Amino acid sequence: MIEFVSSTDHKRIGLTTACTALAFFFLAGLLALVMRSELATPELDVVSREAYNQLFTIHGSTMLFLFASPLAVGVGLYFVPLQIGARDLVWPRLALFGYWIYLGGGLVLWSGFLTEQGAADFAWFAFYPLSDANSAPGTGADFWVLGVGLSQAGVFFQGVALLATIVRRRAPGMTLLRMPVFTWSEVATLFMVVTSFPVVVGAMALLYVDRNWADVFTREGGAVTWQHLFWFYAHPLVYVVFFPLLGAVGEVVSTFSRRRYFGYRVTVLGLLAFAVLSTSVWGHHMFVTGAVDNRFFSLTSTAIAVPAGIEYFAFAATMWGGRIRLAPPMLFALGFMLLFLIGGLTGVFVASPPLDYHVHDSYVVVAHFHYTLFGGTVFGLFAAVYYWFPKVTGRLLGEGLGRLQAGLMFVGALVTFIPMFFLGHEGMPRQVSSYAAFHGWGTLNVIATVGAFTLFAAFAVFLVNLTRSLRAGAPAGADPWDAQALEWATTSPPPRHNFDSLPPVRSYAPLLDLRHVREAAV
Amino acid sequence: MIASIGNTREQYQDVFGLYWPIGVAVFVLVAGALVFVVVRFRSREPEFPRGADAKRPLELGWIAVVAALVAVLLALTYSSMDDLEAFEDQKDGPLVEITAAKWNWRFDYPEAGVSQVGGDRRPTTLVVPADTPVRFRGTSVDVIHAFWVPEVRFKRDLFPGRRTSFVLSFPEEGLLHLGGECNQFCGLLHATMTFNIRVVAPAAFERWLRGRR
Repeated sequence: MIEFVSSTDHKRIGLTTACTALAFFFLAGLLALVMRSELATPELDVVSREAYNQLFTIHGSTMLFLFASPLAVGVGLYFVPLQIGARDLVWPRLALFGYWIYLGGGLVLWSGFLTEQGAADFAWFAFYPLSDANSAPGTGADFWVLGVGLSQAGVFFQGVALLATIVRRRAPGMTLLRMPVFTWSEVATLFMVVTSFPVVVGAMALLYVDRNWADVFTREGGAVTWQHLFWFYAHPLVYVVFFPLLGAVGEVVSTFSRRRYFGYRVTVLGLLAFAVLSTSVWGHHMFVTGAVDNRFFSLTSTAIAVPAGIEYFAFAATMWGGRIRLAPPMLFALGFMLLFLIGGLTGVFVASPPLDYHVHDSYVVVAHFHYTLFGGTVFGLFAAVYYWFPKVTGRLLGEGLGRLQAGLMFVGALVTFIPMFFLGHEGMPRQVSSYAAFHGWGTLNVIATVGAFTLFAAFAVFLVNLTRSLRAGAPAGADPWDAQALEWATTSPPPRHNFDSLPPVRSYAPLLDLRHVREAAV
Repeated sequence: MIASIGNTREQYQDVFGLYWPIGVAVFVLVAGALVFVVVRFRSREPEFPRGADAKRPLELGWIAVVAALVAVLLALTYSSMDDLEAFEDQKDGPLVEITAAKWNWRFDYPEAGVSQVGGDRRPTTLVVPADTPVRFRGTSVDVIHAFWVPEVRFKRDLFPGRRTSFVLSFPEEGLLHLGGECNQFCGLLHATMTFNIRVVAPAAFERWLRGRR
């Protein structure tokens, strides 16, 4: 127990962070299930309006602030030091401190449910003045503000420790352009974390002051200022929560194609360009405010298609000429590519103001961002889980259950979110607890609800697989996948100091180099 | 009449009409290519093929193709925005002032001294002349609301302490039952903050205004 709360081992901190994030994912998923049950019929019949408004606020807040954002850095804390051949983090105590304030922030945010007026109910973006002391007087709302500020500060500290480690602790021979794709995806992520996360911590501090002590946003324009502050953080955030999983999918694609990653340099450039652009697209969330230059933000947001296109090109080109194995990690990676494609392409649509004037804040947007966050982040997460579980535990996850989960998740993601495109286009707004029956939106909503329960089944399969494998999974050995990066050059799980000896690093795929050398010798 | 240069619904349809086939084509090509590659190169052979791991001309070519597509889409978007701005410049239609409040709407016709208000559980009805540019000026008395009419493919935020202006034209006569919605989450009864729209012939609109005075 003492070891658990105080260990400065990056693997311990990373694993604890990622598991905590996963626990929040399942909790927030259960909230979504209640919401989908409510929306299966037009009338309000499962929960009250007060409860529904809290449910979607806490679902969105948890998924973004307490699941995806800490997960993005937590996975990096475990695997980046291994991939660059480091023994430990530069500032392990900073990362550990980051974990504890993230967890504390998460618990504070959720304890809003225990207060008299319930948890925060002003949506995950807390637009001012709906989030001020008059409109949202409850303690749960203050808990939300504190929880978001603390948890994101925690992720920021973890990110700083990890970025410093990448700069300072690379093994001999591990030049910048020999770092694996996953590590590069973390570099791009951490650039965005250090740029944008201080802004949300500041914004939450200001909102807390405004709610409790002195007017901050009440002056004219304050409502718009809040949106600028929030989205300047929250748009990079959605790339923060996507990139590391994109990188993990890159590792899976090259490993399961048994081939060197194709277009490595252009991929790295693409990731960095993506990160730079990410700080200039926030205004597309404000197209309908009439308070930003819509042409500028339309230009930067549409231009995101270029670096995103590079990543797809690299995936396809890596698989081309490979020897592809369709093991569970690769199935999730393929699901990621196909479903994120829907999210990415619809993102180009909503980046066009004349289209956004209609679909903004409708169910079209809900469908769009679930294809990026669920199709992208969550499919990428399970590609990563199935890929790296053997390294972390020394055991393999069951392959049959893995295939079943991947299949259920893929079907569930289509059945849940495709109907939402039609609903939004027909005029269904997001964040409503009921809708008029005569619109005829009932059938599509029932389909979406069936999809949500399919996803629930997929995650139940995962929990069964996880429990079985932890107890009696097949031993994995050091490198069950014939992989390419350094984390596979040590035992599973790795010892406290990570490596007894390191192979020479002459490219971004050192273990593949070794294999080729051995083949040549034979 | 200037209304023909494209109201919001036509602009939406013009842009969507080009974005949609392009989007579908890109999806089919990319998804098809991915599936094809997986099927074509699926193998149980434990070999580790060597081969080029970068081809500069191919990479640059691909970037150029995507960038060109982005440029085409942006040109479409910008030209539609030009038309929308020209449409917004019209100054001659009737003026409607929107006041949004938790959780209902009020529509004032200041030139005629007429007001439309709803009641508890009774949505307000917005009455507008058909096929005529109608000028709107909106604000909110409490939190941010958004005025959305899916039929004309348009919405705009209404802020407390700020005035928002736009021009809309409603092509067809008829009643749009609950055809307007608040589209910015605004608290407890957000889901019920709707309004009706009655689109009438311009002459009937004038008669209606006179009758209400």
